[in-house]
Amino acid sequence: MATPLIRAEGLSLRHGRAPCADGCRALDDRADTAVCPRCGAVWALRDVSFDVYPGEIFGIVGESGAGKTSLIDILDFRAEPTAGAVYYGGWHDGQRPLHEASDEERRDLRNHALGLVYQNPRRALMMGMSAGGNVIERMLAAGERHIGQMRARAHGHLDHMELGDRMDVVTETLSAGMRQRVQIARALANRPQVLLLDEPTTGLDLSVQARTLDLIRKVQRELGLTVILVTHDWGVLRLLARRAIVLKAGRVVESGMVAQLMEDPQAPYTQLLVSSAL
Amino acid sequence: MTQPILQIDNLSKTFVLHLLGAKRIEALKDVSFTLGAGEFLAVTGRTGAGKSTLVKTVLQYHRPTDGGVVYHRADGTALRLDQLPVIELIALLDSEIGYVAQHLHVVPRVAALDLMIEAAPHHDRPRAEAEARALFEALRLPESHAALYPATFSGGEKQRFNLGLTLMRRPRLLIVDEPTAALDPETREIVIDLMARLKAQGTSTIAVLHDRLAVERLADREIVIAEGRLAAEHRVTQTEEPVA
Repeated sequence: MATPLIRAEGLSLRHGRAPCADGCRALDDRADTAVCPRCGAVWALRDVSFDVYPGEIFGIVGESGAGKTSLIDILDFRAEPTAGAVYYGGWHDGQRPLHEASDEERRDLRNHALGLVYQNPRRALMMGMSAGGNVIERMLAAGERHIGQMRARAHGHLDHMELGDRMDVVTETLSAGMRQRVQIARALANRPQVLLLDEPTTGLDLSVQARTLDLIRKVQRELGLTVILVTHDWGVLRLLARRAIVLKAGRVVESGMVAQLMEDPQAPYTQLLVSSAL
Repeated sequence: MTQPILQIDNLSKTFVLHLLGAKRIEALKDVSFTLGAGEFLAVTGRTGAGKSTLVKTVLQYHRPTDGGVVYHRADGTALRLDQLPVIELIALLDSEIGYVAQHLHVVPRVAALDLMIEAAPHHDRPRAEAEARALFEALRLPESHAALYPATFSGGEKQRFNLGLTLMRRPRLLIVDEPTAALDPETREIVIDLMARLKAQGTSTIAVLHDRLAVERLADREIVIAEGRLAAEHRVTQTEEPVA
């Protein structure tokens, strides 16, 4: 059996005030909220565990406030887990918790191992810069200096996203779907092993959504990427991912094969989500 | 009987609908049967009897409430599908066990031929393309459709394409749900011929069928499901008559 590339073990992330002495056990009986009824501490994530295998597209499903973005923040080093750890096979053979990495190692991992695509391209892109410039900027951050080689590679990545002819176009002037594809090209700039997609097609027109999904799928297959896909859209999940976890109020309420989650959801919350899907 | 490829033991499935006050629906109750290697088993019964639930529970798309499913690999090892880690189950469903659902779900905006090529278990593109084109022909899908998106196909074409996608993987065990439903007589004949050829090549098959002629042409054995239970099981005398 394959070894997981990413392992999350008992991840918790708490915000706000100090927790109860017992670690807010009162929350264990309150599956519908992330706020401790006794002390008021907010547990954005609580004891979340999952494995992601090399080359798979792994789904994380849940509504707003379920903890999806908190999870991405931990994977991207923007938040420190309150408890638990993430292990990545490309760092110390997956034997050391990622949050033990030094600032320099974190920068290196973010630049080389990980590509992140946000729902809103404005979070990642410099809108006044050209599409190519946005891709090259990531290469510069990773320490590359040969402008000719960087331009050629940036062109390759944009071409993969069917934007080869928009290399020198100012990002602000591109359509929403194109900006999203520039963002994917930028995330791929340094050939990461892992791609984190945070609601990559939410808010796009249906035809643009279909095109973006197709390109994500294509690039994932061609580059052998491992993808973590955060979405609330079961249609997107079914087309791209084979396994997923369902998050609610910071906790995993169900996990399994996507076909099973959709055909035979067990948890009341998953049943609600699936039956509410269009 | 030949060596079994699949053993179903007392399989039961009860759905609990939490949104309807934890209403319980007993969809499958104590179903047991064995599929021999190379055998073609027809699952028949009225609409709503539990036929699709049965095959989906075998595949673990539905989690069994009780009972087990044992799959025997070519090398003799036996695997409990209901206890297999999901990642291993998926690997098996992508290779040895092929499932053809009633409806086609594929990524939009990818040409039919490319989808078939991607489904091949190997990465030899020219070989996969030749295999895909051969399947297109066997399924009598117009050659011009290779470059089209499956969303633009007719209902019957989608159904045949769906079968083709699974056959690209050359599964040892094929599980199909209503492969001939809603097909005109000529197209139905194409699908039956293809499945007969697969059977001749040794593929073991479980097929949910409403179509009596398909049962008689293809099946070695038939199990009848009624109200979630195995109501009858018998051998089928095969006919060679073409479907009218």
